[in-house]
Amino acid sequence: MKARVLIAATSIAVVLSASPALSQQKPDAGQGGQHDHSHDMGKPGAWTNFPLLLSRGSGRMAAVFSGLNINAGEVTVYSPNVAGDNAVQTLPAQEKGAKLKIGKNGGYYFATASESSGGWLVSASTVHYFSNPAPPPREMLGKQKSDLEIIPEPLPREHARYREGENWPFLVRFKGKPLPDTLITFVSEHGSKAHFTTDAEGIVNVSFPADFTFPEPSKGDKAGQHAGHHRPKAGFVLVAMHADEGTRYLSSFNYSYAPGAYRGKNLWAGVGFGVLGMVLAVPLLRRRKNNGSKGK
Amino acid sequence: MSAETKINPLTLSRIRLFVQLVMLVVTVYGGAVMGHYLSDKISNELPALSCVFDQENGAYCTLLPIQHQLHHRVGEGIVRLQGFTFSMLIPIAITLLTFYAFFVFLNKAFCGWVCPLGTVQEVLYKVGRFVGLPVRRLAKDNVGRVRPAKWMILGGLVIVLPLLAGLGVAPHAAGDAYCQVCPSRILTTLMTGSTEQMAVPTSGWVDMMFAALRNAIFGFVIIAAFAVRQPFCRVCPMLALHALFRRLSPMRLVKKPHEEKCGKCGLCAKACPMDIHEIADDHGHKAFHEDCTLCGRCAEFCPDDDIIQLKFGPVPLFRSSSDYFRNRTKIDKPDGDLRKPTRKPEGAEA
Repeated sequence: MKARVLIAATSIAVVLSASPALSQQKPDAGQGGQHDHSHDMGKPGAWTNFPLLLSRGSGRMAAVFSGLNINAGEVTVYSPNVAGDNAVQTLPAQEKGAKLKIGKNGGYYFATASESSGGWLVSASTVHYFSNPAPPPREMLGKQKSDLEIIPEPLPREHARYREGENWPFLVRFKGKPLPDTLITFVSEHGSKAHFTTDAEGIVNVSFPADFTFPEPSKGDKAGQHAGHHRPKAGFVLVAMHADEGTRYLSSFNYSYAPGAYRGKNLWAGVGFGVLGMVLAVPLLRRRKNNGSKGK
Repeated sequence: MSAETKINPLTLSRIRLFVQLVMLVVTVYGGAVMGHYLSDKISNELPALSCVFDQENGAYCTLLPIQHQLHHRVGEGIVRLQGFTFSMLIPIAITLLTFYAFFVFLNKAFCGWVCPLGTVQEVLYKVGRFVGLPVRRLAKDNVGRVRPAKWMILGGLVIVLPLLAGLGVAPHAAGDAYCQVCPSRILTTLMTGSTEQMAVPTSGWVDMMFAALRNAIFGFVIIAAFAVRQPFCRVCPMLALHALFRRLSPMRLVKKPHEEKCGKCGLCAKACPMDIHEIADDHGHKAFHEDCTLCGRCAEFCPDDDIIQLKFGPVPLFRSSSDYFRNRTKIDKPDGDLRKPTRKPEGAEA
């Protein structure tokens, strides 16, 4: 197993060095070797050489996608409303990125960008969440969007996020069919690296590392800002490789994860306050001497 | 056993308990069947405390979107635009309209038949009766002191604090101030095996205070419910929100004027889990009080025919009757005491 991991990791490194898209990487980039505690996704990529598709909100109804470590001329975006007019949109990649404007349907939008060069087909994918009501993304996720895909199955529920210490399943597909026994590489913005292998159904259970540290920098608590969007988070990327009929494929899925459920919290303090409340209510259970069984 | 002493087990209370337990499963665990995305849920504007923090739930409580919209759409919108526009109220208007689309069918029965926190409190009260714990009721002159609390919580925690958080005057944690202290947040998540919502944040004193208060309220309610009927419902802001809309639904409680049959025996008031004394004293629209949860116990324990009714428009769904009363009182007493009437009654409730 270790030998396979080593071979795969070496292969990926070769791909990265061979791909012209990666020639755009920042000079100080190191492949996941740094502990970078910044959560500013405006300066991403310093933590990995893998292709990333980054998104940032632009108001409530728009988002901008930009590729990193990948040369893509366009970004294809899939709406959760698969029957809608704009179920699939192809957006030109401009200097500031590819801008998506949504209609009334919010929810999860899946975006992917690809690049073909030197016998390699490299693609990067991500999702962007809009808080407007939307159909569930299940059907959209089920549709084939590129040859080699890493699909979240499922995505975190609205008002929830991937969190450190949790296990989440991802489906790896090739040309729409599950790809079993495939090595997946995980790299986090905080420098964690791990490898996982898909099962017979193409499912890989990714364990998010507990690599946050506290106190996290606090951002955006000023009046008028949507401060809730500035909760601590870190980027991660999942990468899969596959070869078929002379073409080599490398695909990534990147998104963010958050501190664990109990990070920066004290459960026993909560239990203590709960017990205090119970103790305060105990007098209600005591019988009063001159009042029979009926308290008043 | 003769035909006269035979007890018909099918009572309104038992039907209601069955519905409550089904809805408890749906609201707390329903997501496992329906799906875990928001649009898989029954609604995210449910007029009951089906907590959004429960990852397995089948519906969301409407109080969270109301607070979020006041925080992010209205409060933050005023700061961004340096002024107020009525368009800021459109999302909250849509939320209230969606809430009303559900509410119009069941009215305040969402409290008495659907709310998971209400159901658990009722079950705990039944346990209290089973083990013989005392009953604590609010006397006529005390109940009025408690009733304003639900309006204060609706106004203060659901409306004002989220708005102030959006304006930047109150801390961000106050943006969902009511959810911060809601005991259903702990109860429903504990029922799914998660202790996460009990954990107290240690990074900020506001979060810490909210979580401490949430745990203390939860602990108090759980123990108090063994002796007090529906202790949290009395101060619940959802009860207040329901009260605002209760005249706008065909579902309602109806009581005929006293002069016809009502003997002012007071059994209906004793049966009321919310200690609504007005049900015995008043009639007409006053009898359908702001604290009523449409549980129907007053109608069950009314010994006179047709005096108290649960009606949907012109259709009576349940009406008081002397026959039903005779059967009903063989099962438990108006205050829920399980002791059989053949035993010597204690106190004034006999």
